Amino acid sequence: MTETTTPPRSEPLLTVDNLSTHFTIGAGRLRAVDGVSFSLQPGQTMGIVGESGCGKTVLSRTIMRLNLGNNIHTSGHVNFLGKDLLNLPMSEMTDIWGQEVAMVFQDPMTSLNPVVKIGRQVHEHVRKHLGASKTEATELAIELLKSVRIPEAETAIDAYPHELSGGMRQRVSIAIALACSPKLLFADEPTTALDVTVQHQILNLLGMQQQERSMAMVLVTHDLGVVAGRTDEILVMYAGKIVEQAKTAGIFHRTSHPYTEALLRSIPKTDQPSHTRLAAIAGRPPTLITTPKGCSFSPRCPYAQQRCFEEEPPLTESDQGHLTACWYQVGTAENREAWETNLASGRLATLAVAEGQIVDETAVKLTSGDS
Amino acid sequence: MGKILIVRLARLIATLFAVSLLTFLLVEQLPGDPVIALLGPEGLYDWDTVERIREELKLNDPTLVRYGRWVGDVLQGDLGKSYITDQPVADAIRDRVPVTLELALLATVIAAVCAVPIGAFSAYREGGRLDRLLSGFTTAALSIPGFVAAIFFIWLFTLKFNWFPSTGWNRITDKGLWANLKTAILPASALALAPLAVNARLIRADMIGTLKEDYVLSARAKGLKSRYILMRHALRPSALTAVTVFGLQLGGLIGGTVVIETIFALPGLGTRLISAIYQRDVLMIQGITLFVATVYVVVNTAVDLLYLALDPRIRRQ
Repeated sequence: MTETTTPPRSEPLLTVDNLSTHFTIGAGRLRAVDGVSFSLQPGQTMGIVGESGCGKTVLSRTIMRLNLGNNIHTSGHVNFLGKDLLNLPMSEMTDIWGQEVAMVFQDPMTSLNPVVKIGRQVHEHVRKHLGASKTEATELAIELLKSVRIPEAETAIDAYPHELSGGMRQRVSIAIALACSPKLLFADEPTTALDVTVQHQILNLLGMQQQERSMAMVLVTHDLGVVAGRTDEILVMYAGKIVEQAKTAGIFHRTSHPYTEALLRSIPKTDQPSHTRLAAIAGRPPTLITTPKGCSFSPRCPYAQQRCFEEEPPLTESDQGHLTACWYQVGTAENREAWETNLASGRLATLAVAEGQIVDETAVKLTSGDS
Repeated sequence: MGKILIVRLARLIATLFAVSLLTFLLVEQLPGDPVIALLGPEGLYDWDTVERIREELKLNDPTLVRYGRWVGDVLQGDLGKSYITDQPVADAIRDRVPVTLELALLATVIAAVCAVPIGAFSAYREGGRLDRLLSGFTTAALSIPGFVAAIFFIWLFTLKFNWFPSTGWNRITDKGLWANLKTAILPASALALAPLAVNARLIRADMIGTLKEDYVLSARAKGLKSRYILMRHALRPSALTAVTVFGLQLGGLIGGTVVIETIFALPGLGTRLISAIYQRDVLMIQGITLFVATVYVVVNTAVDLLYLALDPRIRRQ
């Protein structure tokens, strides 16, 4: 647990290359993840952001090979610690799970076994992976529970999950994930099921443990606010594809993709007066069975032009290390022009955004006039 | 907890009253007479003797008076004597019960030991070849009546392989465990078949649900082996339905070994009950029925308490 500063350009810990996960279901093929590539350096944090159903959970589970079922087709490559994860025999996979790569699940109410004591859930895989004796493992479990700030860890190991609060349970899940000191941790919406105050504590705890252990982390969330100060890099996913990928600061300060912009717009702000309507993104995400020709965000995009409905934009580097898949990137002259055209022609998605902005501006004027 | 136990106990006693009264009234409705059964056909020509014996056995009193007397005796620990053989009913039960109890327990153990892996692995391989094969087996086991299976077992294991005897019973106390098991294994297996199939199906159905739970996925993500996950994580939450039925089955087996005991000519409670019914031996019928009902109710109460062991969430209430 020494604090090592990772050299800036080392071998990546995880490389994902052109990864696709398709489900065959009655109506056809559901492209949950479609051609995703990225890499992660040791000790770094990657945020994966997107709406529900955009494929972010399937992506992390595919990388971990936790998709259960036989109607799944995966293609592409996942390289982790020099191993080709997708083609590894299951017997070797069980040695990697829990030991090299671990996962914290979304809902601590369901991800802990209700009929197994906390202690055993924390240390059973330690005994399997590290061959620890029962007493050693129990001591380790207590130590782990203490490190995730669970009060009275000595008695907590004999408790059942239902005897703990949601936040405490998520701490237990984190302790379980950290037990064998993995090199990579997937946190799949780790705070979605928790109260806002507890969310903050859990995220801080994750960040702290990550730094202490110099562990890499993939933080999956639908909330850009969650990843804001906690990640090195962010992937924005839409309809199973990466639409924007950049350093965290780049995503927030030089937003290039209209979808990312819309996500940022939809975060409620505290300086808005009460009863301001939330800025939602008009329309719904496409069903991934029949992805539209062209850009999959085009039906909901305020800037969409004819080209967007016909040709799919490739993921190109718009800035140093900043990748975006859009023909009319936010902040460009083409984008401004597309906006004016759509406003003039009365495109609904465009009008909705414009209306929101007008409401915003008048509201701000009203409040400043009052004070 | 104490309150629950008192309520359970009251319910238990009420059940036993109801069972014994119903049995008494039913036997009363049967045609025939214990005295005729005792004397044989000659009794029909000797009404004086018949009347005398009826008077001695107080069979001429009204039904409810006799039932009340029987209840009074039972409450004092006296189950009465057989009209026919004069043997105390308690002795008859004590004599016969080890056979029936052993058969029932052995059958239950066989059913449980086989049902758990069959249910668990067919759930794990849901829809696969193994699952379909095991489903076929459980369907067959359910649809074949116990006595047909018994006859098949006798044909296979006695006539073809000559591994086990087809009839008779060796007491553990007389001939030792191995000789005893040799006579017990075939009837117990025949008895076990139906509960085995039912339990395997229940466990499979519940387990399929359990395996979709998040905590099973998180157990996988910890790198635990499939067998460990099935047995240590998924089995207990999937066992509640099976355990409920398990209690009913064990109770049912104790009262329901009649046919199998008859096929294998075993000196159990079932065969004794049958002969008592043929002879209208009211007190014997009453005694055995009361015993079987008691075991049944007690076992099921115990099963209710077993839930507490299986699911810690119930313990709090």
